[in-house]
Amino acid sequence: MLGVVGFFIYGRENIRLFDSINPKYSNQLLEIEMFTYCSLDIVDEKSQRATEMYLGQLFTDQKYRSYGFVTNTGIRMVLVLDATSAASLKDQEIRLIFKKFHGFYCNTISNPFYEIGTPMKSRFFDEGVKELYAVSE
Amino acid sequence: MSSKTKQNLADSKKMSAELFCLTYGAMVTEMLKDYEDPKDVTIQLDKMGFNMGSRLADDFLAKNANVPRCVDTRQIADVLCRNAIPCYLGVNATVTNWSNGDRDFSIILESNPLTELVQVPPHLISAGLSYSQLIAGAIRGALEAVHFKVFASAVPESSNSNTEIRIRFDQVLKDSIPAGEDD
Amino acid sequence: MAFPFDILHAELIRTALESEKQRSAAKSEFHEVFNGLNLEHIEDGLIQKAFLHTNAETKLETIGFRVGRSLVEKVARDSPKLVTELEIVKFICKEFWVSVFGKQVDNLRTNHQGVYVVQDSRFTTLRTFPEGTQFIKDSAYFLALPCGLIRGALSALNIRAIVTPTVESLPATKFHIQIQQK
Repeated sequence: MLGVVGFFIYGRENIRLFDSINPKYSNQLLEIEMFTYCSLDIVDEKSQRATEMYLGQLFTDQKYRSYGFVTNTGIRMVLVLDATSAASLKDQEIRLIFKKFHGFYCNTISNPFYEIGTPMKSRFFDEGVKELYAVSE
Repeated sequence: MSSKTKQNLADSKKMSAELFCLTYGAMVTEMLKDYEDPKDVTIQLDKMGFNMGSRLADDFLAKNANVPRCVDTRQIADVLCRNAIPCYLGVNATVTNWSNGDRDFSIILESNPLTELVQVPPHLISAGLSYSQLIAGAIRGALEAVHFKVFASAVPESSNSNTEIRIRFDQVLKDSIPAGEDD
Repeated sequence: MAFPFDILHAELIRTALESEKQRSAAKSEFHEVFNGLNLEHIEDGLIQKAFLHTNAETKLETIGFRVGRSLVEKVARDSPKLVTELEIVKFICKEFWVSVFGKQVDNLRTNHQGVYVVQDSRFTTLRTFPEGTQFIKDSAYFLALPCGLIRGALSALNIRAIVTPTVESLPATKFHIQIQQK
């Protein structure tokens, strides 16, 4: 219903730490990747001027819309939504998603066996994206 | 107390748990770099737990003058689960699996703060790393400080939620009981 | 008190010092063996121990660094956006210090050229030391991990710095934060 396409996390130097694409959109992987990279460029631009961590809408084309979030520690998060979906998430809901994933990020780096700056895998993210996509049914 | 101070207090309590658990985790991973065999790390964690346990026993006795002197393992287990573990680990614990004529028992931690956010790689577990051995060592150390010699080990965790500490009572250390207390 | 960090910290220091002792023993043993060229007598792991280039303080600092990086993420979660170097250092001295060390710093000074001096008149890990100058040397070990915590937190906030403590009279501590230009 809500049309969540994917969720991405990058480090300060734009190294990808986490990515997930809704299986529903798995036939559009390449397009989504391209779109996300374009969005990431805008994160840099926007975060310079932003006064808070939430950056709002980054980029939109006929198919997708993206939203961004940058933490104080330079972690970038990008949420990609389906622009063709009739229903759309409210700003407040998007903020909440980012807040939640920031929490998952905190939990994941608290695992001493995780080496900071390397691709992340954790049950927190797994459960988090599952929830994202479940709502979007 | 205002709600704000209460909030701060709760926060700082949570933070001290985090500082403790994160420091412990970073220490374990550093030790894994120093020792080739994860089993040696487990031994080291047990030793550290033992030393901490002896200090905690003093602290515990100083603060809990009303706790009765234990005469059997059932009482020991009871004090551990009802007083000591909730006090120092902030979680509830239960005793089960009595065997060998009350000499062996297990303490089950309702949740394990040490491993709450930790994912120990399976290959380290199978190589003999027991991440929560500190807790077992601490129990051993604390009991030895009150003259009960026990063996304690953390049962390798299958899931993150329940941690079992298996304890085997060995003997009462008679020699070190001060005269007059022996009855 | 739940989660006796002080006791864990003390134990950690003891262990770090012990392994440092082992390391220097291994080093001199290695020299002996090597000088005698009795190579077949080298015990397993001796070479590894002898050439491990970390002393106790470095070890403790490394642990602190990792912990600081994780902790600051949580502490900075709800704080406003931090932009300038000064804002970040102030954040470390206020929110971070309160969360991790249980109180605010007593004084923060800067020369506006990348050097900050943080003063804490009663630093948390030195609480148990008797006041005065007698145990200053021992106190150094109790400051290595906290220095790592501060450096790790700064590093996560994109500031590379060298953090060194000085103690003139326990338990008052000064931390010198020297920012490394990128």
